[in-house]
Order: sequence, then C-alpha cells, then structure tokens
Amino acid sequence: MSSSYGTFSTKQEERRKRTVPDRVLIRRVYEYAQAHRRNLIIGVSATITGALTGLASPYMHAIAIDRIITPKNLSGFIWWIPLFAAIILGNYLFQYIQTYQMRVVGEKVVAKMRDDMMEKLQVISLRYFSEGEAGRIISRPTNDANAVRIFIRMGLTSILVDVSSILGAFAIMFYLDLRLSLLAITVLPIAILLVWFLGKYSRAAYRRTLITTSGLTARMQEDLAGIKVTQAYAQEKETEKKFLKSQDENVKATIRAILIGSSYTPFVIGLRLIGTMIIVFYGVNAVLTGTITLGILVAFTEYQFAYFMPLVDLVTMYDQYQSAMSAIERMFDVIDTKVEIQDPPLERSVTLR
Amino acid sequence: MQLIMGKLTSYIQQNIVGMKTIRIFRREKDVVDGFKEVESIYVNTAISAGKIQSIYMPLGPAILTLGIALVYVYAGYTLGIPGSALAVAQVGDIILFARYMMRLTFPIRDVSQTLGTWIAAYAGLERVLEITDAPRNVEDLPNAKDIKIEKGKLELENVTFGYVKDRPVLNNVTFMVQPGEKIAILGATGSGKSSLIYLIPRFYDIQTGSIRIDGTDIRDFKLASLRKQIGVVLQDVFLFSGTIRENIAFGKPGASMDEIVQAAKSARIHEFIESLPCGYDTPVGERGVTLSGGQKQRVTIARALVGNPRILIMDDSLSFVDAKTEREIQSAIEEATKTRTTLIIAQRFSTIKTAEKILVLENGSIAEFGTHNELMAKNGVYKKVYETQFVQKASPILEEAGGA
Repeated sequence: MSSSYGTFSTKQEERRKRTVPDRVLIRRVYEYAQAHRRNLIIGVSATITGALTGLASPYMHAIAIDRIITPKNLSGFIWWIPLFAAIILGNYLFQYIQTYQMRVVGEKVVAKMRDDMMEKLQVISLRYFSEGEAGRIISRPTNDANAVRIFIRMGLTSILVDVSSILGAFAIMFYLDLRLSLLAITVLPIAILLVWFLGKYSRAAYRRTLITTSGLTARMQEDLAGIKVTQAYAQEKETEKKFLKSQDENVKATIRAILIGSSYTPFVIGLRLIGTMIIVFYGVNAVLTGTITLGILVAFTEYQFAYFMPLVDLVTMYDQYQSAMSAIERMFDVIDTKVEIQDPPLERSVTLR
Repeated sequence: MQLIMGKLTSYIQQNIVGMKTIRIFRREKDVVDGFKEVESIYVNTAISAGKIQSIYMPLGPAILTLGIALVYVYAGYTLGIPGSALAVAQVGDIILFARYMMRLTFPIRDVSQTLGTWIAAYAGLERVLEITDAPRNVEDLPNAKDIKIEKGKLELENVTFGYVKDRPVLNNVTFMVQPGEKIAILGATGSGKSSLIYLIPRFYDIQTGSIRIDGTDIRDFKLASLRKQIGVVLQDVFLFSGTIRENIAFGKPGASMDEIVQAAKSARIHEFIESLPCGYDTPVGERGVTLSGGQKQRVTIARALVGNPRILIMDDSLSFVDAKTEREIQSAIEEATKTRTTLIIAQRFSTIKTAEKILVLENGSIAEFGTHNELMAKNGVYKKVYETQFVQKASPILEEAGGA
C-alpha cells in the first residue's frame, strides 16, 4: 500500500511531520465556519466581553474598599450592590452565550467535515479499505473529528478568554498605576521562558505517549482479531506477555510525560508568589505614602492573578493547538483524496440485461 | 449523549468495514443519507447538552462572587457600628476573607467537573467489570495433566453440544477415527461441522458424552498440553504482524529453523518464501508484503505443522480461488495430512477423494459415515450430493461442495 497517489497516508501518522501550513488549515476550517458566521461572531464577542466583565470585579472590590468600607460610608452600597450584581450577571450571561454558541459552531463545523469525509469515503478507491487499515480510516471521522470538536469548543475559547484577560488586565493595571505595573510584570519573562523551555521536553514526552498509545491499540486490535489462533495454539500467556510489554511501555511514557508536564507548575506558582510579594512590598509603601489607595493594592494582587494563569495556560495550550492542527490536516487529507474511478451518475448508468 | 456518540462511531465503523458490500450494491447514497440522519440527531443532542452545561457551568463562580459582595456589605455594616459584638473591625480581615472566597472558585469548578468525570468513569468501570467478571467457560480440571498424544486415535461417544443450553447444535454424535486416518466432513451450513471440529481442542466443552484421544478424555489433558498437540487450521486465515518465521513458529516459540523449514515444505510454501526478498524474515501484514489468500492459507498450514501434531483439524472453506491456487493448497493439505489423524471440513471433491472416510452431518447428527464406496452403495445423501455437486460440474473449481 503506497501513498504515492497524494492520497491520505496510512502508516505511522503520529510520527508523521505535518506538511500543510497552519494558516491554510485555519482558512479552510474558517470556510466551513462561514455557514455559521452569526453564531461565530456572537460567540467570539461574548467570549471577549465575558473575559472583560470578569476583569471588572477586582476593580469593584477596590471601589468598595476605598470609597465605602474604609471611609465607613455605608450608603455607598446602595449603588455599589446593584452595579456589582449587574456585572456578575452580565459576566454569567456572556459566559453562557459563549459556551453555547461556540459549542454550536464546533459541532456544526465538525459535522459538516465529517459528512464530507463520509461522502468521499464512499467514492474513493477500495484499495484504501484493505485489511488492517480500517482502524486508521475509522479514526479520522471519529477520533480526529472528536479532537477538533473539543478544540473548537474548549481550546479556541480558552485562547480567546486568555488573550482578552491578559490584555484587559494589563490595560487596567497600567491605568491604575504605571510604576507598580512595571514591577508586577518583572517576573513575567522568566515565567514564560521557563514554561516554554520545560514545555519543549514535555511536548517531546507527550508525542512519545502518542506513539506508545497507538502501538498499544494496534497490539490490542491484533490480539483480539487473532484470538482464535492464540487459543488454538495455547499461546495465551505469550500473547499476554507481549501485550503487557506494550502496556508497560505506554504507562511508563505517560507517567514520564505527566512528571515533566507537572514539574513546572510549582515553579510557575512560585514565580507568581514572588510577583505578588513584589507588588505587596512596594504597594504597602505606596499606600503608606498615599500614592495609591488600599483598594487599588488589593485589586492589583487580583489582576496579577488574572493575567498570570491565562498566560501559562496559553503556553500549555500550544500542545492542544498542535494536535488539533494535525487532526484537521488528517481530516482534510481524507476530504481531498483523489477519486480514481469516477462513477457516472445513477441516471446514466446502463442496465445489463 | 455517550449512547448517541457510540451510535455514530459504530455507523462509521460499519460503513468502512463493509465498504465493499456497499459498493457492490451501489448503496453509497443511502449510506450517506443514513449517516446524516444519525449525525443530525447527534449534533442536536450535543447542542442541547451544551445548552444545559452552559447554564450550569458558570453558575458556581457567579454565585461565589455574589457571596463576596455579601461579605463586603456585612463587613461594611459591622464596621459601621463601633462596639458591635460582630464587629469584624479590620479591613485586612475583610480582604483576607474575600480572597479566601475567591480561592474557592477553582475548587468549585473542579468539583463540578469531577462529578461529570466520575459518572463517566463509573459507567466505564461497569463495562470493564463485565469483561473481567465474565466466567471462563473452558478451564483445566483440577486433576488435569500434561499428556503426550502418542498415536492420535480419536473417539467421540454420544457427544451432545449446544452454544445455548436447550438448543443442541450436535446431537448424540458417535464415531471413531483410527490413528493417521483422514475424515472429510460434509454438511450444509448450520449442520454443525465447525462446532464439531472445534470441540476437539476444547474451544467449547460438550454437555454430555465424551471425547477421547488415545483412550484419555480430553478434559483430563491440561488445556495447553491438549491444544499444543493439535494442529488447527481455521477457516479465516489470520496472520499476526511480524515475520513469516514468527508466524510459522507461533505455536512453538523457539522452534528451530529446521522445524520451520520442514513445516513450510510440507505446506508447499517453502519455495515461495525463499523467493521473497528477506526469505523467512520477510514481514507480513500491515507493514510488510501482502500475501494472497492461498499463500496465507499455506502459511497457516505450516503454522499448524510446526509442532508436528498427531492430530490435525482443518476448516478448508476457501471457496473463491483459482485453479492453480486450488492445486497448491490441495497438495499442501495432502502432504500435511499424510501421517496425521485429520478432521477436515471439505469443500472440494479433491479433498474428499483423498479422505479415508467421509462423515455427512445433517442437523447436528451423523447422517452417514463410511468410505466413498460404502456411501455410494448406500444410495443416500452423500450419493445425491456427489452426483449433483461434483459430477455434473465440469469446472475444476468445485466450491460449495457441502452447500456451505
């Protein structure tokens, strides 16, 4: 079985290097999304607005502390409470719209792609369905489609939320106090470098698990298909031994990937705490000298939280983005397969007598 | 949700596995239409599930934030009444309190997500246990031993067997095979041919009666000992991915190269293997060379012979082969069964011709049993099958002899 026809490849896909650039893939997926543009636009705007309303709440805390609680001006709550409730309600509403609309887009786009794949599978050469390959073909409209579906629903949304949270938090922080903001972000480059550097190892380890997992799946498929032969020759123990070896490899690779993947979380949290310490240290002085209010200092520590985690999230999202792109590429691979024998339409077919 | 997802996946699976059939009957359009229907149900279910989820998921954090507002109000209130018993007094305490509440956001979100995972895991665990708790239907008896089969005399006495309790597939079957004899089994589909031969290596246990090899009940053998001494050639030719050598040596890991070559020679596949680029180390299957059906069958015959078993059971149902392949397989079967006690489900007259005796099964019972001449003289089922199926057909390819 050769893949010299420019058709979808069959072997060792996890190891395969991707050949189609991301922007081409994204553009093509976007063409699919065109049909649901309304949902997409509503979903994306709700996502961004939702993230921004989420940022309003620390600022509201600052106001509550500075203007109402500290000066013991309780009547301020009369306007503060409805406003705060409205922001929270708005945030909830936007999140609801975002989750729902992005889900609609994700499901419908992937459904259309799946349809196209199924239609193509009905007409392409039968040689793709030769034995042993069925599993790989099946995984395109099922596993790959599912991965893309989840990515559009969660990954894409996370990226949007993260980017708007980060930019929004920065904007508010710089607006509140320039000097404190600059101090707050000093630890940021270190954190990004660290996550990126460790992420490289983690990605390599993760790719290794993809290979061992597919090895395990292949092993299992074969063991099940050949179970009669195995029993007939009383080779159950040997077969089990081989299976356990595959399984063991997979478990080890997975544990390694998790170990590396989780190793940077404590570093990141540590760096965030250092950032908070810097803010509090300089902030307290600033509060004492009266340059900023106590409420703003509190809000600052919240914003530090609001941009730091999304940033780390974004870096780790890179993996998800990559695997979604490979899944998309594999799906288009099927959709683009050349049809070797074109059937005439049914109306023109000749009846043999 | 999981249910409809499974439905979608199985639809895709069936379509791809059954693609040839679909093509032959030109049902592609129906398949795509049917798929779209299943898919639209799936998409609608997914979206309505998403609707519920999107209402609940952001709810926890939202309520929590409102809770923080309440803390501010209450704190501000108590702060406003100096000397109040409930005075929280310190602004720092209030901030601390609010921040602790903020910390709850993520755990609450996690808990609600874990709940969903828990439900899925629980359903998954149930299915896993279903498999691990499934009873083993064939097991070693406590006093089972490793017994060597010396001669290969096979006796079946009043054997009754059914896959379901009260629906016997085989009824009161009794016959004896002398060492080295070859018995061809004929019968219509569902007459119990395959069930009969699968009873010998104890793929299934019989309900009543007994099966004896060299006078010993097969249940007194250890399962592994019994099966290793019976060569089995199944109807579907299955090769594992790996080299040809590994496949032939499957039943006897560590078999010497001589044994492997000997088996391959008997199976009439040695020369073909030698002609391959890497000889016996040529990989087969997904990542290796593609063997034809006839070649595969001969490799499986070699696999059955490598342990030099006294007893051979074969399901020779390869129907659609050309005359050359037919001759090659035929010659392989002849050579393989020469000195061994053999039960073979026969589809071709050439196989039947070389058998010492013929056993005709009808609805799970023995209709006739004897040599070709005896059965012809009997003027019964065999004669009828022989005359309609074998004699009148001029074609050398005699498929479907037993009506399978």
